[in-house]
Amino acid sequence: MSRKKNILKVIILGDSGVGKTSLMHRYVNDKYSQQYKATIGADFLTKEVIVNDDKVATMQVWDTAGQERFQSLGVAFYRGADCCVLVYDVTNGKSFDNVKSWRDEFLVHANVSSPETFPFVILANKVDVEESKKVVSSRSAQEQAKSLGNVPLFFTSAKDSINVQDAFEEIARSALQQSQSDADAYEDDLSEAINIQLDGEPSSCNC
Amino acid sequence: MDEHRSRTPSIDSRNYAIPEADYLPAGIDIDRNGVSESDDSSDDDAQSSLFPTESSGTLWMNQIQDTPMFDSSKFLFESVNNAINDIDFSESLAIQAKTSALINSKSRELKGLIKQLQEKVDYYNERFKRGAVVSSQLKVNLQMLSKRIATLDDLFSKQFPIEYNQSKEKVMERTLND
Repeated sequence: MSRKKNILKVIILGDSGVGKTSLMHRYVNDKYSQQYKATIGADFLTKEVIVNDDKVATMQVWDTAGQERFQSLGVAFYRGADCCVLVYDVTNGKSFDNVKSWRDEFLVHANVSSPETFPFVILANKVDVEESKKVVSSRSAQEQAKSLGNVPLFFTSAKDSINVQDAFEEIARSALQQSQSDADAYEDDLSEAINIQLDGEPSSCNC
Repeated sequence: MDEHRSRTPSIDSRNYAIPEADYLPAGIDIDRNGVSESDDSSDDDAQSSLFPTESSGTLWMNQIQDTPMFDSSKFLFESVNNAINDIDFSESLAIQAKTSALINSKSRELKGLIKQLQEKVDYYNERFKRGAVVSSQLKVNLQMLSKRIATLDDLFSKQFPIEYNQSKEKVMERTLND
């Protein structure tokens, strides 16, 4: 019996309107809607994935609210995450500046066992827009990804389905790795279980 | 380290489980008082198998061990494990997050409205205070004008009685516009 049924929990964080929901729908349903509808609280979709060509897992992608007023008071869904995706909009400089804040916010609430090694992935979304509208350069994005601990960075477009599959494949790999290391740590904990049965004591009652 | 270590507790709860009724001999049923409801002739046999004597004690224990029983600790462990991992649990979390967010949103909206209301109350309070000062000034002015009118009235009625009365008639008959 395994502790987890190979469920990879992935949390998507980022400012309002950067395209978190669109990325999730593009990846899971391969659909895109031009209509904007703010996410309330959090929602999730699941997808069966094959990681490293042989391991089947269910990826549970949690989409969160970017708007402060729709953010949940309790962020219990952060707990047990295997990977965190930080999204920013290449046309919105503030969303790029807030990437670190989202990362810190996640680490505070998720209570991860090892914050230094926990896998994050950064997605620079909306790369389909014309160059003149882009305010965040690729170089500054790469520098930030490096400063946050060599976090993998992908330039994506949910609208034109650019790099979304590749990004989520990397996310799945990182999540699986994290999940396995968590499971190993759990095994180690169990191996230290105390046997409360005393030596020489009969196994059943003789009264 | 043993990689195939069991995750069930080290205590086997089956040692303490109550055996299922099917280990009893056929035709024997026990009521709450422990009295057999089978016919009288088989009473002794039934009781001897039901309540073990010294010689039958080992056999009785063996019967319990061999009978498949409900393992409560295993059931609880698996139930909790399934409950934690289940998609239903995630869905309940999502619903909780949505509900919480809606409450958060409404709470913020209400706070905003309370703030707006407070600002309006302060504004009208200030205006009311200024209105009170103005109205007291108006009262003083009206009293003063009233006195002056009375003085003029008195003066005109004495100095120009005919014109005064003609004018008074016009006022009384409201024919000023004609």
